Amino acid sequence: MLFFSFFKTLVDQEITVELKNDVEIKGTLKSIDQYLNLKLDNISANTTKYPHLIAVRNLFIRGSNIRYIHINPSLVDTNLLQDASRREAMASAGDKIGGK
Amino acid sequence: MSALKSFLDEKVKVVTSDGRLFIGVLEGFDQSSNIVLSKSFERIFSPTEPTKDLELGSYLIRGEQIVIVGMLDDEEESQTDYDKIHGFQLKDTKNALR
Repeated sequence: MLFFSFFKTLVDQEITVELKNDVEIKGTLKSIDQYLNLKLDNISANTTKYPHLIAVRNLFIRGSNIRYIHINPSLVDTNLLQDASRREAMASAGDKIGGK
Repeated sequence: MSALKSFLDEKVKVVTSDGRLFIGVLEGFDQSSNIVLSKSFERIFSPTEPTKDLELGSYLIRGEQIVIVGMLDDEEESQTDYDKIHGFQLKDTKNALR
């Protein structure tokens, strides 16, 4: 659930999503769910090559078809993310020892 | 998963993992983002031929096939002359990394 929480901190920020079909979409992140499905507002995409998204402003992207998400580095606290990763790894290791 | 709720009863454009584009009214959806469209049609772009619309009626699209569900701005859509718009077929989502 770490990356779900992480992406929740990026809500209302501008991100670029690269999909597995090679399409790139820039937009404002509006919501995210447990599957990392995204909702983007005010999107822009290359409609000259692929006119499929003409007249679309707000869209839902299924998480399973996302390849990369480009984030402005200033929005990411890598130290905090590393700490959180360690904490989550420790917690799940503890669960195993505890017999869960 | 409530992200699709705001698109209910609205006209949407749906891109599927095989690169096709469906347009219709979003009638319903579920946890796995399976969706049902009514009054739907498939739109086919070509670099040379005029754009084609294929009438389909009601359609259920399985969630795992869905890439994008986008809300359609009716005004901008009606101002677009699709006979004059050419484009490439979208790739599917199975293509390997460059």
